[in-house]
Amino acid sequence: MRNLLLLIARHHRLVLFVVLEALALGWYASANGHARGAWIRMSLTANGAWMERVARVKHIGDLASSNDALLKENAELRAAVLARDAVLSDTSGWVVWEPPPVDTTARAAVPDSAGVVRTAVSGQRARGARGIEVPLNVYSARVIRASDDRSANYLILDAGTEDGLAAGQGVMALGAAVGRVHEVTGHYALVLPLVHTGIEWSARVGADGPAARLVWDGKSLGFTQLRDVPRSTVVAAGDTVLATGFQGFFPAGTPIGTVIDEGVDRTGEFKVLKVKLFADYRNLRYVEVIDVGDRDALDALGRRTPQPE
Amino acid sequence: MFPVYAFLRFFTAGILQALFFQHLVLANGWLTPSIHVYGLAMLPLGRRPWVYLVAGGAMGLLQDFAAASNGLYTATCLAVGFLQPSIGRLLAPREGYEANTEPTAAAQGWTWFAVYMVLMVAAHNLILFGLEAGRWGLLLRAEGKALTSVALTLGLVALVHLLFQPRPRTR
Repeated sequence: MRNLLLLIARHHRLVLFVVLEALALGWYASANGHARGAWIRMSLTANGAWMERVARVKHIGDLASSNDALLKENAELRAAVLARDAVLSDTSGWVVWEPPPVDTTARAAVPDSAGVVRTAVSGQRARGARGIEVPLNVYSARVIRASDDRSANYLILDAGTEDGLAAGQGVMALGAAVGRVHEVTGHYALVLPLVHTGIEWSARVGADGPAARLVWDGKSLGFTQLRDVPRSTVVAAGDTVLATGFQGFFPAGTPIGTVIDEGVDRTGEFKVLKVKLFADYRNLRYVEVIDVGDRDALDALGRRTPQPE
Repeated sequence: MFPVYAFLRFFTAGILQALFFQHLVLANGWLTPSIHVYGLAMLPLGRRPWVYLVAGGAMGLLQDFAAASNGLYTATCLAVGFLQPSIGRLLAPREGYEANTEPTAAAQGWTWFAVYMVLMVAAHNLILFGLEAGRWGLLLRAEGKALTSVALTLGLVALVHLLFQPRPRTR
């Protein structure tokens, strides 16, 4: 024992380093660099206001591209409205379309103190890929920070629990999947995007394809991979990849991207599909946060599954 | 005790990185400045090794707090703090350093300062980007980014050092 103490005393610098480094690495490795808990909430709260200011400065430089994106979004919305009106005015009897019931308590879209227009629509119902309706709450938020240089990328939104956000909600942009809310404080939310090497997403090719794992390989922000697709699955370039909805982040059928190439994994038993993401991660400015209303109830039901003894 | 200006340099570099430079990621992460290493490197030479370790831990915690990165910078800066006395010894004159020897270009010469900063920044970036890559398949690309980012950080360090280093007095 005495010899051990002498040894430690002699190498105290190394021992101190090993202990502190092990603590730091353990902290970092706890969730691939994005652990949840008090520290991250404290950091988000303390840095949120500063990040918002930095985002505003960056925003000035990005006004031209933001303007283009808004114009495009406006055009798409106008097209959707026109299409809806066309369907409603169709008297041929072939097409029946009912607008989703919108809660009358939904907040109006008015600029907040920062001049940002926020909308929150509750009571929407989305029709999933198999025609099953799920209740949805939709919130809008602005991206105030985004990393694009890491394997563990993240986004920070300027909306938090006070705006209706909660961990586990899905994040979308222009109707395409972007990521999920990981941690949330009163006014800010940390989002882990599809382009994060530590997370797997459940997705399928088309509405009827088998469920597979969507995993980012850490290389290009515009592309990801759909792995474990059975070789018997017929896939063609241009096929759409959709969320299965199994994880509860997105409604089933939420678009993710399109297949651009296919290969085979090392075992030779499964296909690996290269997927071009719909969401333009580098140009995200505003996003919609989706709360699949039944998520908590479904999660609770899942937890009641008998465990093997 | 550290001289007051060493503390000032340490905290100024740390705060500047936390508030400004960590937002200045260019060329898809191939140019990422790490100006806080300047704060660590400018601590006086010849102090006890645990001092650099504690300073590295403190700098890492500050950066993790600002970047919400959960221990990534703490692990990196601790390792740099551990290596710092060895790097200092590697470049030491035969008689060693006196306590509070300034690791500046004015005191040690530009060649010594350049080699010292290259070693400090390279050690920091290789560890940081290697840890952040998180898997062997991404390691080569990550270390490539680390080395290109060393060049950017060294450029910034040289600029700061030229602007703020104390001028030797002339009669």
